[in-house]
Amino acid sequence: MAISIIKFLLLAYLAAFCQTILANLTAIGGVSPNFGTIIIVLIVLKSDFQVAFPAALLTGLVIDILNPELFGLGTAIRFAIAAAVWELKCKMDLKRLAARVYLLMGAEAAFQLFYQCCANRFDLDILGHLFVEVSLPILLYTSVLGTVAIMIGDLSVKIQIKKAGGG
Amino acid sequence: MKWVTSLLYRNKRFSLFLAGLLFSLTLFALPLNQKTFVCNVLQNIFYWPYWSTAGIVAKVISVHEVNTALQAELVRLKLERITFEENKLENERFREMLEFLPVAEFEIIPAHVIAYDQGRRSSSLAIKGNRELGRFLPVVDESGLVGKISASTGRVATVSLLIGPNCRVAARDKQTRSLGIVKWQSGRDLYLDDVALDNKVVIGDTLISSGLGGVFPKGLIIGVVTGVSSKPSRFFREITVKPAVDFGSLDNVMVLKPKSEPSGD
Repeated sequence: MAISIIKFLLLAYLAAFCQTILANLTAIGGVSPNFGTIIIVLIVLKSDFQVAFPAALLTGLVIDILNPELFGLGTAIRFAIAAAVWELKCKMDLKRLAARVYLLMGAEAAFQLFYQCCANRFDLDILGHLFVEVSLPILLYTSVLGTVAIMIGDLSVKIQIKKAGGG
Repeated sequence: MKWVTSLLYRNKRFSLFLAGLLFSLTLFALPLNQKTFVCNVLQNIFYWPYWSTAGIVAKVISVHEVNTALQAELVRLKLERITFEENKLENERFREMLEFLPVAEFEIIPAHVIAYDQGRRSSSLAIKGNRELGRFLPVVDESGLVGKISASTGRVATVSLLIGPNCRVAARDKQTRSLGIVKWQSGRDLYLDDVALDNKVVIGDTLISSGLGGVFPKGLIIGVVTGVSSKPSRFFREITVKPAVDFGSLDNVMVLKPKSEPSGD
């Protein structure tokens, strides 16, 4: 139990780190990737729902506290997306890298769509502009970085398997 | 109600999803002031280490930037100070020159030395004035007479120095009023020629231009008598003169342009 709490705390600090220092370091032309989606998708893909759901909730919460006005909205959307990703994980064959990348892209696209729509109260004039100028660059950047993260995750799994086989 | 709880208990995943979603939406539904309070507390817990680190890094970076800027400013100010010092010295020299120059009869043209004669011993130099410089005009600095312009091409002119063979000056002993011709023969010293044996000239006397030659106005300091010898077999005294001007460190000079142009030496 204590170890689980420590792991969740570390996850929360990791999310905060990604949202502050890493986001600033990786920003290109003012566009930062959505590390929240990457973290949530990676956790959901690798863990059981009993771990993935609270982790997604915590990650969403930590990222959301930077925007008190919409506090809770991003958490709810991220949590719902985590649940959807979980369902897809159970029903789809995600062994191929491309499938997981599509899943990540879909998750980020869904987040951007729901979040911007709710945050801007479905004002279509603003949304059109926001989707093109804000959401699309973030989606592309998040997809690229998320792909790299998934590949690194695969590589570490392969190394572990190799070590286990060798041992 | 009982069947709902049993359904939730049996479907753990759905229960967890529902609980998380309700929790998030409850947070979203809170009044803004309460949300702000919760966010501030959580921000202090989770973001404080990064913000404080980022603040320290930003301070360090800014210190480095400020240091670089200050170093550049220091270099700039040093250069400016050197320029100011140069200007101050130049100003002092010009002031000294103006004190003894016959301002009323002459137009004073400031000039600076742009080249020295390339021989072993300089007997001429090139100057550049801020106006057109004519031939045979006297050139002085704050110490005294430098020479005369021997050739001119507009603002640039060649000056025949007093310590050269092409410049002779009608001189007068400031103390005894004896007349003579100051000319160069060899070495760094000048000679006062044509002073009769019965004229009294002593070591330490100051020689000034007499104004009789037509080129140099009277009263310009030429130098100081450093040696006097009298041989009965000769008609004139042998008088050596140390020039007042340090010809090795000439920088700014003045060209005196009379109202009526001189015709030559």
